Amino acid sequence: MGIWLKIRELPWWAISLSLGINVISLFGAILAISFYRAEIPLIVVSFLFLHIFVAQPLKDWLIARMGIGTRYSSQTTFQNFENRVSRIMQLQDILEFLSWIIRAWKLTRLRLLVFDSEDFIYYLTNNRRARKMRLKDEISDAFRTELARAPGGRAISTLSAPLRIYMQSRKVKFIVPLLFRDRLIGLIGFNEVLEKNRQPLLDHAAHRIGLAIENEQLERTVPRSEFLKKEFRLAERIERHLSGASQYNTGFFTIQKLDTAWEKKHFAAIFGCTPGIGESGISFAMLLRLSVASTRSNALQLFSTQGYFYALCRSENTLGGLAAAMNQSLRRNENRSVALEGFLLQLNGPQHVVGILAFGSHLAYRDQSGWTWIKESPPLGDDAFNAENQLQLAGQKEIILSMREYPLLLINGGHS
Amino acid sequence: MSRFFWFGTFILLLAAAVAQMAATIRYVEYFKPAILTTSHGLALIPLVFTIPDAATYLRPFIVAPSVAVTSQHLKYVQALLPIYAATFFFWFTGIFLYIFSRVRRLERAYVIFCICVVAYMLLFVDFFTWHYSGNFFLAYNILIIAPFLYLYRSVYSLSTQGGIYVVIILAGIAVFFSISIRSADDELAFIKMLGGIFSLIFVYCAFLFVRSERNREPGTSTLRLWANRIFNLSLIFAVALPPSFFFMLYYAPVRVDVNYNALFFIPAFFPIIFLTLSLRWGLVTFHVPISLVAVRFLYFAFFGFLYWFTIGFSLGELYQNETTRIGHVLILGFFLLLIDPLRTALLTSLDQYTSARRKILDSFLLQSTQQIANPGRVNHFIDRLAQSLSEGLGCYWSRVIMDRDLFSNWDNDSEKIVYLPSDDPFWVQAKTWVRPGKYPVLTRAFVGPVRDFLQGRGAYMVICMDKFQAGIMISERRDNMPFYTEDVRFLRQVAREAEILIQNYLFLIESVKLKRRERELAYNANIQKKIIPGFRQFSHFSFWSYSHAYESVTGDYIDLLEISSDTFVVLLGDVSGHGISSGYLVAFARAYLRGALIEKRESLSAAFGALNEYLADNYRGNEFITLFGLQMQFQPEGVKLSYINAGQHPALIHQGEGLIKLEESQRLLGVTANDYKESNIEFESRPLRIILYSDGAFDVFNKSGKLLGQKKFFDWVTSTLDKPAPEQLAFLRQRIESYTGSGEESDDLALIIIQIG
Repeated sequence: MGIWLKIRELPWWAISLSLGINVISLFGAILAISFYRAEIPLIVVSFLFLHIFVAQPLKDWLIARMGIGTRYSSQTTFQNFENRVSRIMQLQDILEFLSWIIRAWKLTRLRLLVFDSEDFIYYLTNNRRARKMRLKDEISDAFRTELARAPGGRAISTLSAPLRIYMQSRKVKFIVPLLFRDRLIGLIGFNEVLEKNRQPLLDHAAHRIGLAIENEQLERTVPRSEFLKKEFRLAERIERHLSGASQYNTGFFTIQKLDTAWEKKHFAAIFGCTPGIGESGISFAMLLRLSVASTRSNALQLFSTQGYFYALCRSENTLGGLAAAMNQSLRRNENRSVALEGFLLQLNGPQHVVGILAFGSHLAYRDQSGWTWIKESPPLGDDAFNAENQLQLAGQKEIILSMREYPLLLINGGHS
Repeated sequence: MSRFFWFGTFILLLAAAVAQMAATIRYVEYFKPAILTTSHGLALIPLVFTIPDAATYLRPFIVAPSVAVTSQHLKYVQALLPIYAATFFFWFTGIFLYIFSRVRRLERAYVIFCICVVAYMLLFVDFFTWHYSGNFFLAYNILIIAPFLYLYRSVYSLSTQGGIYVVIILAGIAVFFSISIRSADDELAFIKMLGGIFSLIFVYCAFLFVRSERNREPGTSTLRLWANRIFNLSLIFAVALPPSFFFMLYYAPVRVDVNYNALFFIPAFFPIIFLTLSLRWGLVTFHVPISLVAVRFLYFAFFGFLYWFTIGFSLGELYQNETTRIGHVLILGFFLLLIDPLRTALLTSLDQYTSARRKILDSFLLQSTQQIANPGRVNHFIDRLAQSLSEGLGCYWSRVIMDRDLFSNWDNDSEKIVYLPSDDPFWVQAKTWVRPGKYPVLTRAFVGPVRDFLQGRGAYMVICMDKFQAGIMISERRDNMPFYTEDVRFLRQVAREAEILIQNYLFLIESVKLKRRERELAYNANIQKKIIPGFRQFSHFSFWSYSHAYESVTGDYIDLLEISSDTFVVLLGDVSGHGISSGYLVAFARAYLRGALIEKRESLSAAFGALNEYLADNYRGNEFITLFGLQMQFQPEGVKLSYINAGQHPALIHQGEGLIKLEESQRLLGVTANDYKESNIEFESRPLRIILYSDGAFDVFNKSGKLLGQKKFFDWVTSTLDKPAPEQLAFLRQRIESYTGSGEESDDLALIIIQIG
């Protein structure tokens, strides 16, 4: 039964057609041979040539088109259409494509609305260049919401009454909203209702057009983006100065960054070390971070802090004095907007002592007796900041300072 | 090495075929035979139409002078063409398969079989012409059983059983050396023996067929299985046909007729069946997409030859001999009723298949476009795209391959994405070997990194994108089916769509970064604005300033410090460059100077010196600041001005008439260590106006690129000295900004006006 069905499904009409043509041509050849026996080779060769190189290909072509005619035709149409659609990369391509649509589909005119920071409308008619104009009349938010509700082309009869009237007043009978990521970025309006079989093609093109418009709009920001990228690259170079050198040697002490946390950019902290007044052998160091911030956004404040630190250290020899001066400078000059947590350190070489002033939260240090958590206190720059709350540690092999549980600084030296 | 061997073999065979055709032409021209016979005169291959009625196949044939070739006769080339045409099909399909398929066991077996059959055909013609190879052809009839059996067993994936082939080869060699052919009777006896051997092989093949069918697991009936069955049946047909033909001719004597030469083309059915089964039912795996035009061309060539040998020979001989006319009419009828419908059905089915496949692919293309219009997150989109591609193409999987740097800082561990370093040899070969602009298709036909990559990943092919180092990678199709050029067209369209979407994602990423940077800039600009003194009034003087950033953050520095009730410091500086990096240094310098001058009450020269030292030490001359520091000490008898001009433009002072320029200038800050000295100047207590400005006040260009210049700026200053200070500031500002058009300066602008008294 199955085989019988398969046999029945064979393209009998094509086979019959082929047979008919073959029978006719063969009998023609036989007839010619019987009349002109002296020219048999010529007739045979001519017949074979015509049959193999002309009749057979022609027959195959006919059968292919007759057999799958409608499907073939629609597929060819789709392929041509798709080839055009695939070329759409930017606005100019869209206009060329729409001009082609007008010619190929024999339309009178269409318009393309592009919604951007400023809305534009392009008028396209047969054999004319597209005219670009600013959209004079405002398309209300309600209209936009309705248009963006669903993708796909539709006749204006399916629209709400106000929108339909709006479209009718502009002689638009069929619209295709251009959506990308559910955002309405444009609209194509036709002056005639399109045939049903063309609507899927148009919807297909609308997706691509939407994407091309979106890209065109985004591409305009590229020069500005490139400019700022360059700016910020320069800024990054300067920002490196916030974190200071990886190691300072004060003569008595060595203070160095524990690089893992710094390199992985877990911290937006500033670090620096500079000698105090004259030849006292006292140096100061800072390890500070803003309470809530990223480096980039608050870099100006961090640079200001760095400025105060280096300016004030030069004429200080006590940790309390430095801290009080910094606190006062920050409060007076920075409008109380800068609040810092971390450590101010005094590296007292002659006395082999490390003075630590810690402020803020989540701070700890480790000396030979192990880790010690430091009690939370008001940050530097705050009215309640206490500059006297210092620790004095005798110089030892290794002191580690940590913020937010990241060990960041290692101080060693000063021990006998 | 193996590639050179196989290619060498095919090229050698081609050369041998050409050489042999030339030799045959020479043979025929020299001997002018009507029928080609064995060395002992058994008739087999007629070369002319006019054969005596008595001439019978495989019977001794004695050449008579009356049948010499004349101009009316069929030419030898046409008579032998079926043999050469069949040879060509074996040669062509063999090399086609070697180049374009994944050569595994079955493919290798077929290639070997093709080589052996081509050699068989050449030896066959030689046996009937020059006889260069002696009686080797007879032994070769046994030897060729070996590749045949290897191919037959390969279809069923049976173990190789190397012993069988050794036995066959030894048997062939033994026959060659032990059996001597001295007469026509010996030849006939050998043919009978061959018939017996081939019958045994036939029985053995039938046994293998039945055994493998019985051992097959139920429910595994796939197209591939049917392809195997049909292929093996055609293989048996191919091997059984020649001996059957010989037996038939021997036991049922048939009159020699050129028309029957068409039968020598029958072996060509075998490669055509093989290719058809491979292309439609996945008998073997091709590693490049197959062009349907090429398939059509192959069918066209096959049927063209077939028509030539059947219709052409029959028509040519139709009126040559009354006794054979019925036979020729029957052949024509056979062609009309069987061969032509077969051809029509085959081509129509090919059309229908193409059309149906195109329909499926087009619907998937529409789907993928819809996905692209609303792509969502990148990894979700790629997952969906990969899934729909796999469904649409019927392949096992599909993935996106991309340069690791394409989306920087993007951690995506989706298994649908394969990352390659940007300098991977794969990209290098893809770029250099393939013409750009065409979305190149990279398959295993490439030699080198592309092939290695595809083999390593088990991938079939990659369609590369044009704009980016990215592409779509797909696996083989299910059921061993080949990819066609239609699939490539579909993939190219998807690649185009994906490419424009990647562009969109990259734009989006940039846009997000841009917004973030703009936000950071605005934030910094906001901080900066808060600390720039605009208008301040004191008992001794009034202060107005204006600062405008070329970017959101200015690199110009304006400050007013109240050191004591009658001592003030005014600072105007300009950090090299502009934008956020300059803004940082402004913040630093401002804090440094405030700390030094206000908190520590240092002198202007000490503060400048220390700041200079810090900048020079830390920035090593890469960043510098021009700065004008003016200290105003108000005394009962007037005002004492102390100033340091570190590379800034001179301050302008107006008291009474004209402008005084404080021209004395020292080295700018940040270049190298330097001692700064204050200059002093005193003014009596009369109204006094001091104007400070940055280079943005005159170092600006209009739309046509013309520089404003210092002279023009000074003219504007001079002409407005009689105006109140705020009006003068507004005038200068407006003039400068309108000069540049749309207020876009080419540098930051800072202006200060101090009115004393």
